[in-house]
This record gives sequence, C-alpha cells and structure tokens, in this order.
Amino acid sequence: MSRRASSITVGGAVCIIATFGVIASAQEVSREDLLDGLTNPQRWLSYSGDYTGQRNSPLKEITTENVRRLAPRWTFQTGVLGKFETTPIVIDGILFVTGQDNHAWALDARTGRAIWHYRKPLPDLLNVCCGSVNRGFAIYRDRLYMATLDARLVALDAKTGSLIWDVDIADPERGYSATAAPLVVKDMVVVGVAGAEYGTRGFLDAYDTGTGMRRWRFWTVPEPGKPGGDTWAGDAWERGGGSTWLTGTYDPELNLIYWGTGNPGPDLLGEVRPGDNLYTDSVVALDADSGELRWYYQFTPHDTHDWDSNQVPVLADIEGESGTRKLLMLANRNGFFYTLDRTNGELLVGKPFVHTTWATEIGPDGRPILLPNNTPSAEGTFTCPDVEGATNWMSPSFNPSTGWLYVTAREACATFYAWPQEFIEGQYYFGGTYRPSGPRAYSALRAIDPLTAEVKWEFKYFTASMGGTLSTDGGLVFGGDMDGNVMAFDARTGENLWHFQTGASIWAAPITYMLDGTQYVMIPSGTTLFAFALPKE
Amino acid sequence: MIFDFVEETMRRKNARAVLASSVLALLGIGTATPQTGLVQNPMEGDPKALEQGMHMYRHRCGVCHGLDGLGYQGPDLKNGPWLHGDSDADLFRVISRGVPGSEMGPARLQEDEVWMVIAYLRSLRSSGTDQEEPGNAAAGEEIYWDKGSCEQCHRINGRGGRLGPDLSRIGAARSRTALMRELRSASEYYPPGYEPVTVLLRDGRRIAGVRKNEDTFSIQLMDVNEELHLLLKSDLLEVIHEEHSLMPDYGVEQLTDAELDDLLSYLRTLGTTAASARPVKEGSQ
Repeated sequence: MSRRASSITVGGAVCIIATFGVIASAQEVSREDLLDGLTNPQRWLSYSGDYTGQRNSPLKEITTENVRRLAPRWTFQTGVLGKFETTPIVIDGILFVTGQDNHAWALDARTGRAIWHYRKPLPDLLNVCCGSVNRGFAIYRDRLYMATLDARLVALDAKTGSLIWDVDIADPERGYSATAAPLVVKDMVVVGVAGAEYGTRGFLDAYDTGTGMRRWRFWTVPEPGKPGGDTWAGDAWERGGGSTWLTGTYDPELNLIYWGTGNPGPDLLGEVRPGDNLYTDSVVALDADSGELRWYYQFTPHDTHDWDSNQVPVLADIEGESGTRKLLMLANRNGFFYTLDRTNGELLVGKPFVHTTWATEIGPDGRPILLPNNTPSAEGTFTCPDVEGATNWMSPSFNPSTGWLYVTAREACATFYAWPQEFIEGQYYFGGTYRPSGPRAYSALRAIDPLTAEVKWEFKYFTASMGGTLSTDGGLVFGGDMDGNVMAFDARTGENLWHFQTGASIWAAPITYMLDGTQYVMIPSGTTLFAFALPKE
Repeated sequence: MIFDFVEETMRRKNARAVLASSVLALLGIGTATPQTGLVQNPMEGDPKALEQGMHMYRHRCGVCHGLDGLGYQGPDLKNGPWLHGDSDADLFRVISRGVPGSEMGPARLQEDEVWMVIAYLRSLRSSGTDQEEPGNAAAGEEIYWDKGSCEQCHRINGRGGRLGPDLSRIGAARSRTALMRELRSASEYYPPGYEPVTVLLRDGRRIAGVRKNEDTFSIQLMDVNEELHLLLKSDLLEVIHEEHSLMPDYGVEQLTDAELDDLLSYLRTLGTTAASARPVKEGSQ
C-alpha cells in the first residue's frame, strides 16, 4: 500500500488499492479449478498447467506479429546455485516457486518481490544422482505440496509458507530422493521418487491432501508372484529401479493417472537382471482411486542405457479416420516417438524422432526390433542416443490448433561401458560408465505429427539442450537451450521470431500467465527467474 | 536418470563418515591450516572399499584420467608423479577441493567415497611402473623454441603465441602418452575453446581461427593473427566447423622418434619443476 493510500479514508484506500495495487487474496484452488486447467489464464496450477500435460495456454496477447518486442519485465534472484528446473505455480498475482536444495518462495507476480521464503534443512546423508533439484509445487485449496530432496512430502500454508505437515515418502539413506512436482488428483497428492542409481525399488504414492496419510502405493517393480514379477531373475527386483521422478498426467473421464517410469538398476549392467524388467522404462495407467495398474506399455524392455521413460505423457483427443481417439503421446529418451490409445495402451505409432543405432522400428508386437552390438561392455560400445537421451525431463507441448507436439530433441551418442558391481545399500549402483562419442551433439526443436510421427519442421539449437517448451494460442512455441537462449517460434513454420540471452543454461520449461491485462512469459535460468512481457504502451 | 557429472552440482554429505568432521578440521577445510600427514585413510586395505572406489573412480574420474588411470586429458595417476602431494590428506584435499587453476574441480563426493577412491588409487599405483622416460629435456627445449616453431601458437610462462593452449603446466596436466598422441595426431584433437572454425561473412570475407564460444545466434572466435571476432550469425553466410585442428600433425618427417622423445621430455617438465620457465630472449616478445 502506498503512503498516500494509507493517509486517506478506508473507503478511499480501497479505491486507491484497486487502482494502483492488488489485493492478492489468493483464492482457494478447488477440484474444479484443477479440472479447468488453463481456462483461467491468470493461473498456472500444476506442473504442466493442466491434467493433459499439453502445456498449451489459451493466451494470445503475444502473437507471431508482436513477439519480437518481448522484453524482460523483472527478474528474481534465488542465490541458490545448481540446475533451476522448476515450474512455478501462479494464482491471483502470486507465484509459488521451488528451487534447489529444498528452497521455495512466494513472489509478487507483478514485481518479483518475495513474500515468503521456505527452506527445509537437508540431512547430512543425501544421495542424489543428478543435482539437488526440484521441479515445482502442487497446490490444492490453500495448501502447497512439495516433494523434498530427502524424500519427504511437505504441505505448506500458501499464505505464509509455514509448515502444516511433513511425512516420509522413503528412506534417503537407502538412496531415495524426490525431485518431481507432485500432482493433485481429487483430494490426493500423487508423488514419485528418484534413486534408481542407488539400487532402490521404485513406486508411486498418493497421500491425503488434508492429513498426509498415504492412500495407496504402486510399486513400479513387482515382487515375485505378482504380474510382471517373472520379468526379473532372483532378487534383482529388490533393487530394480523404476523411479517416478517426473510429474505425470490424469484423465478424469477415464479416472486414470498416467506416469512414466525410470531405468532398471543397475543402469548399464543388464546381465544381473535378465528379463524385460517390468515396469521400468514404461508408462503405467493407474486407477486414480486405488493406484491399481490398468495397463502399461514398456518402451525399452531390459534397458541397459539408462533411458528412463519419465517424460511427461501428453494427452489429447484427436480426430482420426475412425473418429475421435483418446491419445497419449510420448517422445522417449530412447529416441522413439510413440502415440498410444490411452484407454487401453495399444500402440498406434512408434517411430524414431532422432538418429538411433539400437533399433530402427517397433515390431507388430509393440516391441523394438533390436540391432546388434549395442550392449555396454568393458571395452566400450557405441550407441545413439546417449545416456541423457533423445529427450528427457524437458517438457514437450502440444498445440491443438496445429495438432503437433513440440519436442526438444537431442542428437547425441555415447560409448557405454559396463562391468560387474557388487550392490551395497545406499551406494551408487550404476554398473558402468559412459563418455560422449561420435559427431558433435546438438539439439533441435521438432514439431511432430502424433498421427504419423512425421517431423513437420525443426529448428536446430547449437548445443544439446535440456530446456522444455510452451505452446500458446498466439501461434507461438517458446523454448530454451543449454547456451542460455530463450526463444519464440512460429508454431506452424518453425521460424525463430525472438530470442533473448539469459546468461545461463536453461533446464526448465517456460510458462505464461495473465496479470493486469498483460501476458507474462516466465522461465528459470541459472539462479534467476525471468518474467518477460511486451513493453507498456 | 543420470546426467553428466562434469556438469553436476551434486550435494553430498555423509553422516556415516564418523571421521568426517575431524578429518575436515585436520585438512583445514573451512577452518584450520592443513596438517598433512596426520590423516590416514580409514578404508585402506578394505577390499569392498577398494572395489567401490574403482567404480567411483571410473565413473567420476575416468573421463579425464582414463579408465585405466594412465591419463587422457588429465595426468597419468598410475605411473606419473602426484604433484600435489601423496599423503592421504593431500589426496583427500585434491579430490574433494580440486586443483585451483587447473581443469580439475571438486569431485563432490561424500567423504567415505573419497576414501574409497583413494584406496583404489593406491592399489592402482602399486601396479604402476617407475620407468624413466626417454629423451633429453634440454634438447627438447631447443626443438620446442626453434625447429618445432611451437611458440608461434603456444605460450609458456608468458612467452609465445595465444592461438593455441598455454603450455606452462602441460607436463603436469597431461600424461606422456596423451602428449605423444596430441603431437603425432595433432589435427585430430582440440580442447574446448580451440575448435577450428571458418566463417564466411555476407561481405565476402572468410575468417579462419579457433572458436572461443558459440551458440545458436552468435560466435566468438580468435583468428590466426590472434584478433578476436565477435559475430552474429545473422551476419554470416556460413559457419564451417573444420574437422582438423589448426595445429599440424608432427609426423616422423617433422620430428624423428628421438626428437619426439626429447620434446616430450621437455614438455613433461612444464609445471612439474620450478625451472620450467625459460628466460625471455631479448627482443623476442
């Protein structure tokens, strides 16, 4: 409130605030709000913006015509080093942002000024394979939910950042951690774990949003005697991996949660775990109320290249020759693009979207037709894609107008080494190593037709990148690269219309929201959260 | 789920390393002056630690030091000198804190993992050889500055060109094997910041040099005259990433095996002894 406003009558003050300020009376987020997704453009209420995972905003103030004028409006400095992979939550003028090392903030979405700062202290023991990252909050009613690096789930008061409850997801001393943004479904908060590099056994959990009590757990690696248990030998299932470290999607009509699962463990040494190793490197469709498996599709049976399939499964209903199909699209780390029927998991399309040397097609039985000489070895075995994969956690986006999925693809290869390794609980359990090999790696933003897997256009990034994408009804796709560029493209042609050098690698995907009649585009980079908008008239 | 460890900012602590706080204090990390020699590896001789250390080493260290420890882009740890000390405390410090001014950064391992790596390094070392390297360093020095014309592009202790990497401590940074490979097949190897590139400008100019940086929209390069060119790709017709380094191959026609031994012998002194600097000749700058 301004000094001037505080000096006049109460009624006048309200009038002044309405003119020059904002009453940030954060409304509670209801189940309907979450179902409505991005219909209210002042909000971005979940990791992918809505349950479909499309990351497509109806906003169109910023268009192909004016995007060249996009400029920074403000920045927020976290002061915390590491990979800034978060997707902020936006509601009624307030941003809720998580950062590395269990930090989190609430920010004034107009100015970037902090409202509160939360930090959950880290324990002394911490096994995290890939950076002390966090990918975002979930929100429901007036509470925020955050999975912490030390494998806990915390509920915070959105107004103050104060802790409401704090529950164990798993034991970090055994190698578990948590980095994904949770997903609220009905009155449950669904959250996954990381830790497949430490011989853990993966699962997906649902907790009561009110009490933090666990409602269900789905083990991604079944025990002997359960369906899929026969795809493991001996006791390998006990440390079989299959992490759930990225946020999935949800179809409320089918009442199914779709979640990607990670690599089997040990990552590169397959001989100690003969079999397909279900349900690693798969997408699983779970009944939202019970967590029971309805169907699965395994992208990489018996993976030995660390090709987690945690990528966001994007849902869309698309008209085809035989009517509307309920589809699930997933550009996979193994180099293939897949379209499935999300009612039953039937494979409809499965083709490479990058150069692959381990398989070039998917057979009629839905399994990849393998090429020889791709098993990691003591001498080293050359394979494309590399460990980081053809794509990874970077979100794709889907524009219903074009009907195309926009994917940050990586063209990269590696030499994979494997050797026997004894398992020691809590210790790193990778079974080999790798080094970049082959031609210089690079990335490309690719527009993929999900009905054919045809690449409609591409824009090459100089460096292999891990930045995600955002689609808007302004006819735009936004992306970011490893060299620090945030960029806008014409969604139909792939023409680069705007770019801005942020000065640090981009590991996250952009979001957009409306505030005071202005469309903001936001992206984390380095230690900075950037808010872009068109210049004021 | 793994992502390139070189790029990583892993945070790792370990409460199980009971010795950790005392070790850190002894090493002067954060507080006191290092008292090297007072710390011993609590995992020395533990076969499990040794094996786990091998996995750690291969995964975290092998990219630079070689999976076999014989050196690749980093020093030979099996046969070469351990220049920053060979006590357990020295090794702990080097691994956990890196070597300032070099390409080696902190390994970001847990304390017990560092001890495992040290246990493995000692076992690796015990199987190494202590053979004297062939060649005459004084003769190699003459070759470097005269016949080899290395100074045209490389700088040693402030003298020489800047188009190629500074070699003032190359003897400490590279194994003999790696140096031999880089001389005999020089055109096949270039470190980051020295990638050969040619750009064609819209005004018809053609500039060849080494790339200092590049992204989708711009490129920064140093030409063969050491001039920096900071260019937008929108002003260029083409950027050609050359397949071969600007440094020529030094085959047997250019350097006999004996001369190569001499040159390697000289290069191996650089950064490893206080006397590696050569006085600047009058008028030679």
